[in-house]
Formats: sequence, structure tokens, C-alpha cells
Amino acid sequence: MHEVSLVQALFDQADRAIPPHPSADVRQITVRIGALAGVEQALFRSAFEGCKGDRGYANATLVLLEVPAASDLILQRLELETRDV
Amino acid sequence: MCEVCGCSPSPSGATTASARRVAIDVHAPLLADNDRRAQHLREHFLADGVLALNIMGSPGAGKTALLEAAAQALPARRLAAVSGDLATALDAERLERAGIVSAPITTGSACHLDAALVHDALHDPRLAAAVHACDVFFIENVGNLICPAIYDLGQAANVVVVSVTEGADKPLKYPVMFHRADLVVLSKVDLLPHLPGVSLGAFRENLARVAPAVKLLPLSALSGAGVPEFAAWLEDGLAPSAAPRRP
Repeated sequence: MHEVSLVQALFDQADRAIPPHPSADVRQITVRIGALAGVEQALFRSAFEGCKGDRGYANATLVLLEVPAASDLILQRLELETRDV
Repeated sequence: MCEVCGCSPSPSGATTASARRVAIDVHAPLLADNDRRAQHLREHFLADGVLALNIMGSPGAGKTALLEAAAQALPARRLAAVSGDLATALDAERLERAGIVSAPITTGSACHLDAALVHDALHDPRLAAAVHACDVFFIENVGNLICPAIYDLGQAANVVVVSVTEGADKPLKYPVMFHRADLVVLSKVDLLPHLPGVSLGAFRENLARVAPAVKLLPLSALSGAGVPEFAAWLEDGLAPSAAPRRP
């Protein structure tokens, strides 16, 4: 199931996108998925839920934006909660 | 005020007295790392004048038999290959016996090849030397009509092999795979007389619905039908005027 490797790639991208912050907690991850991306959304969600704890995203929820007639597979947006330190 | 990244609480974004939400617009392709490695491979293939082909299809579709037939049809061409397989090196061994310098890529539980696996395989000095000097480099993917389609491997073109015994409906059932094909080889056509529910016309019609521009090549590695046409397609790809078709 390639959805697991795609979710790992998603977390790799998220790791790079988050600025250094000692208390950043990712609460929402938005991904654009084209209808021709070859990705089954239910399996992608399942892989996300299965992997997120190990990758430090235990509190994150996944939002999928389906794009018709496209093969997009894009990490669109992250929403973090930060606390003052 | 956070001293690390410079953020400061704002009334509109605050979720508690000391916490706030921050949104980051990323717009990064999930497969950016793979695509970067694939582009690195593509640059090497282009610099060496190597025609790299991603050969995809179901388990048992006839991918290895197609490459064996190609080796027989093109004795003057230097051919190299990697074969993706979950557990064995059987296909790579077959290709070696056919005269194609080959190495297996054992994927374990992974259902597809990615650019990193191909790149790592090319660290084998024997294979690397063969690929550097070859005319055609076949990347025989793991047998699967779904996952391999979405990973760029640095190839110039995608070849999808589908056998008549799989039925004429496969293009409709796996549109992403066929949509990304540059050539579809319909294999084992010698069996068509024994398959009353399958016809070349029905397959052609279904393929046209998902990939109207793709070339369809009926072929039998057993009888040799279609093999000269496949060899000619490879020669066309090797011609100096042939433009890279991927990405």
C-alpha cells in the first residue's frame, strides 16, 4: 500500500516546513489530492492515523481537498499551536 | 514573546492566554524528494544517451518475457535492467540469461519502485558500468497496476504491459496507470482464440476512453507477433531526434 510511504513523505515535508520552535504542536494538516493522483483517500487517512503518533504529529487532524481532473499531491497548509516560552 | 522564532500572541489567533494558532502555507509536492532524485537519474541517463524505460504491469503480465524478446530482437543493442521484486531475483536471473546485464531490487513489502531504490541499485559497480554504456535501460517495476504509476524513476517513457488473460476492462479499472502510459503492450495475444470474452477491439475501445492518444501494441512473446514492432519503437526512442517524453 503506497499510501503509507506517501504519508511518510508528507511528514518529511511537514518537518521541513515547521520553523524551529520548542512548543510547536501541529493541529491540522491540509493536503490537496487530485482525482488522478492514484491515491485512495480512505487508505491515506488510515495510514495518516497509523503513523502520526510515531512521527510527532499525534494531535494533528488531516484535511483532504480533492481536486478533480488533476494529479496533484501537495502539502498545502499546516496549522500549529504554539505557546510562549 | 517567543525568543526562538519571533512569534507573538495576537488577540485574533489566541487559543488560550499563552497559546496561539499559526498557519503555514507550504504548497510542497509530497513526492518532491523522489522527484528530485528522479531528475538526478534522468540527467545521468540523458548525458549517457541511455533510453530509460519504466516497465509496469500486473504480476504475470509478461514484463520479463517482453524484455527477453527485445533482447533477442535487438542483438546489436546494449541492454541493461533492474527488476523489482518483493522476494526473489528470479526475473533478473532470467534477463541475465537473455543477455541483459541485470540486477534485482528486492523491495520486501514495498509494492513499487521509487527513485531512491533505483539510485541505490546503481551503486553496484557492475550494473552502473553496464547502464553507463548501454543503449536501453529497462526498469522492470514490481508487478502492480496501481502504485508504480505515481513514482517518477527518471525514465524517458512508461511502458504498461497488460495480458489478454487479465480481461479487456483493465484500462477502465486502473485509469491512472494507463493514463500515464506512453506505450501499452497487450501481451499473450496468441491466447485470444481461447478467450471468447476478450477481444482486441474491446480492449482498444476501453483504452481509448482513458488514454486516447497512447499507442497500443498487441504482442506475443511466444509466437513473436508484435516483437519487431516493439523493437522498432525502441529504435525510434534511441534516434537522435527523439525528444525525452518525461517528465
